Amino acid sequence: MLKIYLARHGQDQDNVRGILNGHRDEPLTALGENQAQELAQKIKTANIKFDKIYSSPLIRTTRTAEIVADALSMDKPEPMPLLIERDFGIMTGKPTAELESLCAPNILKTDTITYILSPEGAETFPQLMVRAHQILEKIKTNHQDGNILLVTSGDIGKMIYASYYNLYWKEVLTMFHFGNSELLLLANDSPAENAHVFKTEKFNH
Amino acid sequence: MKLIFIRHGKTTGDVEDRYGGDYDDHLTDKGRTQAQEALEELKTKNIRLIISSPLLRARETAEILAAGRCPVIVEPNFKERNQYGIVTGRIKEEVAMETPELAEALRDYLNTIEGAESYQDFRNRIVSAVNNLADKEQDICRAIIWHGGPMRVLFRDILKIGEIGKIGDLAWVEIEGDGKNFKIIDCRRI
Repeated sequence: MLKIYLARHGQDQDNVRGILNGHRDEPLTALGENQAQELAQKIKTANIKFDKIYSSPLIRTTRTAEIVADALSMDKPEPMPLLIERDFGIMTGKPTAELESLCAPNILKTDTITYILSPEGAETFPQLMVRAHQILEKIKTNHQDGNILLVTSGDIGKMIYASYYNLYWKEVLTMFHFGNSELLLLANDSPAENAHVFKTEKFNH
Repeated sequence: MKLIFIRHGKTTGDVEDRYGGDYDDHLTDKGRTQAQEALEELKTKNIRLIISSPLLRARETAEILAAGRCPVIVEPNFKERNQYGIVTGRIKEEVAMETPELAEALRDYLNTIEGAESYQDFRNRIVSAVNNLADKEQDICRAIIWHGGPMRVLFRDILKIGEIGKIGDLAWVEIEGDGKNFKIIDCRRI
């Protein structure tokens, strides 16, 4: 059976400053490095073994993936450009606290985050669904079974989950928060309602 | 301009595992239920016109989505590609046993077997039919009921966002645009 694990990167410099990162390429903070180390240790303790690790090419995900690969004595993670975070268009680099005022009413508010739906030049969530579908097709073509880890970002990560379980993107955005260094499992015998393998106590985005 | 492209529901041909394409089969009970569910989902879209492929599975889906309230017109150019030529409607397993080379050739959509419509011709008619919709710019939301093949052309050649693979029953995508540039603003089962 093929099991796909999804990890989100640790806290990066933009996360801690409350800046919408997208395709910006800031490194992990000290906390982010710790979070990645903790994730790696939790995986080790749980005796989860991966056959392959893929990572978005941005430094926050690459670094998180490398930390996990090192801890498990695995080969370097393979970059997968399709895994890159959502492009936020002209909202890239804006303070997250201002997103509601800048983008209303074209937003979706949840308990934890305000999602912006279609700012100029941004990928929409439906477009992310298409990309997520393509990511899953690629993984399923290259791997018939085994455990695969994808290290990625929040918005595209949620859509990979939505695509895997054939769920509506709008509903998935309100279902749960995908926090820094959390781990989700997508598998035939793993129910959609219970995707978190590891949750972080406090989300830091 | 808002357009919603919708694939028809599950058919008798699906269940019997036949090569589909340019032939007629019917929605199964499941297909009709799927269309009813989609009707609920699409309520807020305020669809004012439905344009359907002439094939029965699309027209049956269109009738359910119209719910007696919305006009339905038929556009012949939205029909599925005649991809399977002389084996259209045949059971896949039988064809694989009788003529394995043919079954093998059909695995690549770019191949054109005997009696079939070439991918070029098919793509050109779909692109041109969608452009016609864009030309007849209307300030209402229109839904197009069609098939997997045209949906793949939409993603590959019109939206240019690559391969989307197999399209599920009642998968739909809503696009907004000015005729030149389109953006996907909603989708389900993609």
